[in-house]
Amino acid sequence: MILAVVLLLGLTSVAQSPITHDVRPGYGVTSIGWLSDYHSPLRGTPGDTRVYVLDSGVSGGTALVLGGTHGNEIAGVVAAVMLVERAIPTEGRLIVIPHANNAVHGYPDSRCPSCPSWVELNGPDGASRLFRYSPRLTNPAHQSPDSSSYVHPSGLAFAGEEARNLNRVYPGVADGTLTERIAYAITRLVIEESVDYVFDLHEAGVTSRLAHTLVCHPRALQVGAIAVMDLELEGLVMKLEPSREEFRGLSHRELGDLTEALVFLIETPNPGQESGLDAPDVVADPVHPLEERVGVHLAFVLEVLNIGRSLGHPPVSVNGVPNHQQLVQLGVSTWLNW
Amino acid sequence: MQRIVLWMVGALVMVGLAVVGGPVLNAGFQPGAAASWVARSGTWTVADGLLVGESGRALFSVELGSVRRVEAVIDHVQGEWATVIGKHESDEAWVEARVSATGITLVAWSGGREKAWTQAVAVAFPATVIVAFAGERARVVVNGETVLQASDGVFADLGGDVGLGAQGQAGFSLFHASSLSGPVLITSLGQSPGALMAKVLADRIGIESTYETMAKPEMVEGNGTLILVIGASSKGLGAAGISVEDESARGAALVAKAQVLGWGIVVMHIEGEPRRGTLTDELIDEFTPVAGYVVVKADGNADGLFTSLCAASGIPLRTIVATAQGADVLADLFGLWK
Repeated sequence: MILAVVLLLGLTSVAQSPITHDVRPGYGVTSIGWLSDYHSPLRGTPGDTRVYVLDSGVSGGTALVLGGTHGNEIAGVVAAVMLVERAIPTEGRLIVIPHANNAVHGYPDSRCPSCPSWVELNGPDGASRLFRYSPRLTNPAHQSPDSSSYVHPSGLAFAGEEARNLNRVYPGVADGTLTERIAYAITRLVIEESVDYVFDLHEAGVTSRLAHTLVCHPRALQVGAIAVMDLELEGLVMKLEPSREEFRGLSHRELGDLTEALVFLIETPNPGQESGLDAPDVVADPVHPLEERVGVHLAFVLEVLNIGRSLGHPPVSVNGVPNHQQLVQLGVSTWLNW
Repeated sequence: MQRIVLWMVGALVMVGLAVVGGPVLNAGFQPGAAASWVARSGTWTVADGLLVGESGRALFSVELGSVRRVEAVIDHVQGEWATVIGKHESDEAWVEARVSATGITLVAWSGGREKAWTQAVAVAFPATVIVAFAGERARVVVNGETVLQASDGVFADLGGDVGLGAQGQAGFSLFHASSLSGPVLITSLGQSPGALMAKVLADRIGIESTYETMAKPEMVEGNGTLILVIGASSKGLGAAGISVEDESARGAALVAKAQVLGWGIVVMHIEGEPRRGTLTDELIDEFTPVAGYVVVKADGNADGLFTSLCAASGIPLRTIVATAQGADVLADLFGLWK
């Protein structure tokens, strides 16, 4: 009987353990933790995820980069992984969560049946690496069945499935659904680590009005405006949108309201999220290839940090990250660890 | 063709459409309406939207500060040169730029002495020529390129009228003179982030400015310049709890107050094509014609809306490719160029 219980617990534990990913930390990484370090009930659940800390050892600010809020927004995931593998902070700290919602995996994407489950990137000497390409929302197996509507604590109502959308449930609920607990843990991290800058990396359909957009919390709007204008001079064209009051539940609104951090959300165009495409190529699309989208994410992260520093916000400086041109010319694989 | 030949100093040329709004003069050339040009010498005629001068000068008496700029579009030169007169206190004290197909000569006459600065450059006609003064500095810009800069006390000492001239025959299609100064009040018409971008641009060049998304007429006091940044965002309007009609009324009240106090008015549309749309276009249609100067990002004018509105009202239109270039335009307009 005891053995059976132990086995059952063990099996449950195995079944519920967080999925791990192929992330190969570089020399900039000084410690690796778990998101559950900031909210222990998350430990041992599919929502727990790795947190990479890159500390320069030099006083300064702290920047948090979130990839994988949505499982199908692969450019944000790869950009975050690239930071873990290549970034060398020289001032302040960088904290990276490449898979912010690690509970999105393991079920088919009904929105894009023809999308891949894995993205394969080829490296030198025939090597390859696989990145999960998963649905947008938390796996329904990990959470109570969707209600007809999801009501955010602010009172704002969404479609029921949005209860599984990490970017609708901020600032999270300590004892809420798995998705709410993930959001709560991220919020706790931002508070406990005194994060100064938050970057939530997203993608949208190529014809979506959201594509090519930098969304900024109102306190971050000046920095965002400068970033948009400066990077436009380098050919990176983004729309600037303020985070509106009615955007309750979204990272840029809630984290910006609750904390002192300057919060940004970056959207690049992903053909895999465009409805009506039979076989979208989320890596080698001729117009929006992965390296171009990853380059945009990283360019805006670094530009915002540079501008923040110049405007007197806590400084975070990072070396080792390719610029947009280098990524486009040499491809993503060149800038990963092999 | 309306042909008026003037021989006497002080006689009036009927060259139509001149709008003097505070420190801004815009003169288009349409037959039939009277304006206060004075032919000092030579022959001056108006036809087909052109002012054509032969071997003489025509002046416009307007009160502008010593820091000023004169902009003209020279349609053609048949003979030696066309002249853009930046300062004319008397026949013994003036500064003018002579523009030929092969070069620019800036000539200052004062105290019985002539000083001249020459730059050989190929000039393509029609040519937009700007002659600008800031303290002891002067510069000449031709078709967007600064071709000549000079420094001399005479530039600071002189003031007076502005005007045009010809040695041989020259035709002009646009004439604008201004002496814009701070403080600047920057507001949005449509509640998009474009106004914040304009504030960033103003800060970059050191103009004293106030940014208020919902600026009211009470904020227009004393001397200054009003910058209206047009860009309608349905979400922005909704967040502010206003309609586009409300914005129209607020803008009209601001313009009315600015005109009463003699403020210059600059209209900007610097967010490009993504910010065009029905609501934005309503505001463009209404407020572009009241501007003393218009700045537009090129893709926001792909359909030529600004071009046609400005041409109809004789308003100079400056086109920028990237929003950040707006800083150079503001520096030019406010005499803060390097």
